[in-house]
Amino acid sequence: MGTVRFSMAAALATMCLLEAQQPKPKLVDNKPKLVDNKPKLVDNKAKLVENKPKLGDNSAGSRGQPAHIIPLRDPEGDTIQPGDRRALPFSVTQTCGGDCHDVAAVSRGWHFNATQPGVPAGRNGQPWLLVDRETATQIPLSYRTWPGTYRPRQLGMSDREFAVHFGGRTAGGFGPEEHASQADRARWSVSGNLEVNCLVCHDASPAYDQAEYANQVAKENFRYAPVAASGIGLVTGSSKQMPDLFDYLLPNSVEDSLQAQIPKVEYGPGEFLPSGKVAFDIVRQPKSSQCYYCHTNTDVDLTGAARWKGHEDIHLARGIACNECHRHGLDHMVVRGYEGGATASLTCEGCHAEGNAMGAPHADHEGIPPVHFARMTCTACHSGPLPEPSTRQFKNGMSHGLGEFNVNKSSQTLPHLSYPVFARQADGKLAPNRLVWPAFWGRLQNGAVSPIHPDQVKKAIEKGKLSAPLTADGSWLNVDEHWVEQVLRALDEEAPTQGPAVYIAGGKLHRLDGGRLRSEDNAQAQPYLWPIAHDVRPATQALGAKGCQECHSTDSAIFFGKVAVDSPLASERKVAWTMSRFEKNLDVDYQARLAGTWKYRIWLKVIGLAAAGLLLLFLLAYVLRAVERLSATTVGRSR
Amino acid sequence: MYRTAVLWVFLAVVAIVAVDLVLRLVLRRQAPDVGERPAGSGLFGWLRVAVNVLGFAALILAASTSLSALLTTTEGQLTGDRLIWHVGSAPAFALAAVAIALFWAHRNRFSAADWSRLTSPGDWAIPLRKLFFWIAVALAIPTLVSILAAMFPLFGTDDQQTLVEIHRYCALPLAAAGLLFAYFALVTWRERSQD
Repeated sequence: MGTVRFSMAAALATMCLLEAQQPKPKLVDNKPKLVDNKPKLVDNKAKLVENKPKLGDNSAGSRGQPAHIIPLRDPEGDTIQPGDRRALPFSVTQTCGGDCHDVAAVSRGWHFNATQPGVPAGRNGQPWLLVDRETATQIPLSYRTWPGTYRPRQLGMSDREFAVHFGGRTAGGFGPEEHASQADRARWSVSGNLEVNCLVCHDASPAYDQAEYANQVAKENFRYAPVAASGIGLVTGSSKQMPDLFDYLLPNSVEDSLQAQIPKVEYGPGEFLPSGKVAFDIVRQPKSSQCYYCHTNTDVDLTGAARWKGHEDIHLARGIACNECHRHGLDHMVVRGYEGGATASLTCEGCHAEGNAMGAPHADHEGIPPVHFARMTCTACHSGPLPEPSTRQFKNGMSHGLGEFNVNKSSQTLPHLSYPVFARQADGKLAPNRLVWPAFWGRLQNGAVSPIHPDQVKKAIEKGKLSAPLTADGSWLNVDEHWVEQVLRALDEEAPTQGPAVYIAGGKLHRLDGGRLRSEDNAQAQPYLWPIAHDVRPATQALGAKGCQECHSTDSAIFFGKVAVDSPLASERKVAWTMSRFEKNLDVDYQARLAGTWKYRIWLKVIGLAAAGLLLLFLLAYVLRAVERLSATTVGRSR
Repeated sequence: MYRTAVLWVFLAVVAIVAVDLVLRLVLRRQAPDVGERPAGSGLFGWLRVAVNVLGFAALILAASTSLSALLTTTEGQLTGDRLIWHVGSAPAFALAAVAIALFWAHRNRFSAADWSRLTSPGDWAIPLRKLFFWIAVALAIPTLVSILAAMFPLFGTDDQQTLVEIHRYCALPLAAAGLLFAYFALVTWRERSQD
């Protein structure tokens, strides 16, 4: 019976697909059009690009908050009415981009352009961390060409898979890539594109819920995620459960067992104004709390009950919102704010150097030799936690899904991220960084390691019956070198001709050599670092505020601190790296010698000032005597 | 700028020494009137010699570390081990400077006879010794104070740079005056010993 029903459903779905090749019939074509002379935006890219600025992009100059009382539009560009028999989800691209905003221009902004070709990567930033506990994997991914990260494609990860994994913590901007597989295209058709979601930043309504957005993305309800997050409509069902031939315009064409899982939206009756429009609480400048949806970094020791001990960025404490510095125009190319970036006026120096605007206090740096500013970034002393004998661990919104539903709140949940690590930047300056130790399986091909997708590793592990029990705290598997050996063998048996399998973890490359595990240094095993910019500490809490010996001492954390090594292998976690290992060209012995001299500095000051005083006395004694004699001579001659 | 100043100052030092040596040979002058004989000998005399040697060595060390940085690095900044040696020599130099001032100030006070010595061929060593001694004493004060002031949380970045510049531009003529003082002190000592 079920087979017959499925065949019928498949036939119906095929017919629908064939129909879909033709101009699509409107689902409710007799619904009244509130504004029927509005342009339809079926082809996003082609029609959104216009030469003249759109209504909302061409301000008359008022500093007031423009009201956003607007008609909702579905992905086809049609206006959604409160009485629609079967409502469709509103499309942010169509709703915001219809008449008012150039969404095509916005979609080339920093938050959305990672997958677009030709975008300068800029300074290393936070990577996406693909974590798979069963295979002991945490690998940094990025579409940008940041050294130390891997492009998703290198793991065989499509844009779609990427969007499912990470899309919930993004502002959208994903769709089928140029060379997407047929299977992927079918799934994109089911889920819809993960459009640029303006609401994630600009919807200031207390009802907006990014966790719900992430929840919908996980269900592959890409098309429905913004409406669910906005709270305007209630979304049920899951596109993930729908067959490849599912058409959201003809949703009932699936078999009965899936009917309950059909994605649907039900708008709240009170959401629509009498005009049939909806009032959004849209702000031009997002609140900082909205940035924190994704950009929260929190120390694992300062979460939960200990949260009250944490500190806030001085700028936020003074009432400066994120976007005051991280500004952008319509192009949404957000100023990243680092020295050497495109907009020098919105760097630390840009505001805090003498003669600059925004009322920022001038950084006097009294008593600090200028050489420090040539060799260290501002953040070295002012950002992140003060360095300690060993690095600390933190969690991150993008990596740990903080604030999302059913998140493992354990402090040990993967990925394991460390900070602060002082490392030399490309410009030669010392800067504090965040760090992740890559752990992944790969194949050694032509001297380079090509990462293997965790799903493939998982198959080999399952086939070899090597699965290890997961830990409750969300941390690494409890495995050892023997397990690594066995998995490497299993991977070699899976694909003997694709190059020897290797495992990277703990800063080492592990491979089988004559049947035994061998660990060696490898460039790809090096930890990935990205600079710390926040939280910024004021001068009184800066590194060095308590004295030079915060850094210039033989046990100073900035040079001689320990960087905890992270690895699934307990033996590797025992050995920490010294901070100076990351500070290329640093003469450690010199720093130790210099630190050793610092205790005599007080004597240098005392002796120097005393000597200067005594020399002044000598000088004055003889000069005064000479003056006295000169005067006496003058008197004698006059007599 | 500073490199050029260093070059000119040390060329001037060499020129003064060279001119003095040449004129001294040409004139084949007799021993100068050395003025007061230094009182005391034995331990006190040795102490005085040791102080002179220590002061001169500290001056040479401080000057050479600074100048070597200037000559061998593109930025001309005094950093690294050179800085440690430079700073390490400073207390020795400061203490020696006070001791030298103690031992030499009275002998180097100017008198009416100095003017006639200065204008008398070959007798200029004493007044020149006195002149360079007092120049050195006067310059040692801002040289020390400027760089020590920079070590206190009193001056901001721009002022710090000014203080370092003051230190450099005072130290340069100080080094020159110190060398010339040492030279003319040696000349007068040698000629006195040949009496």
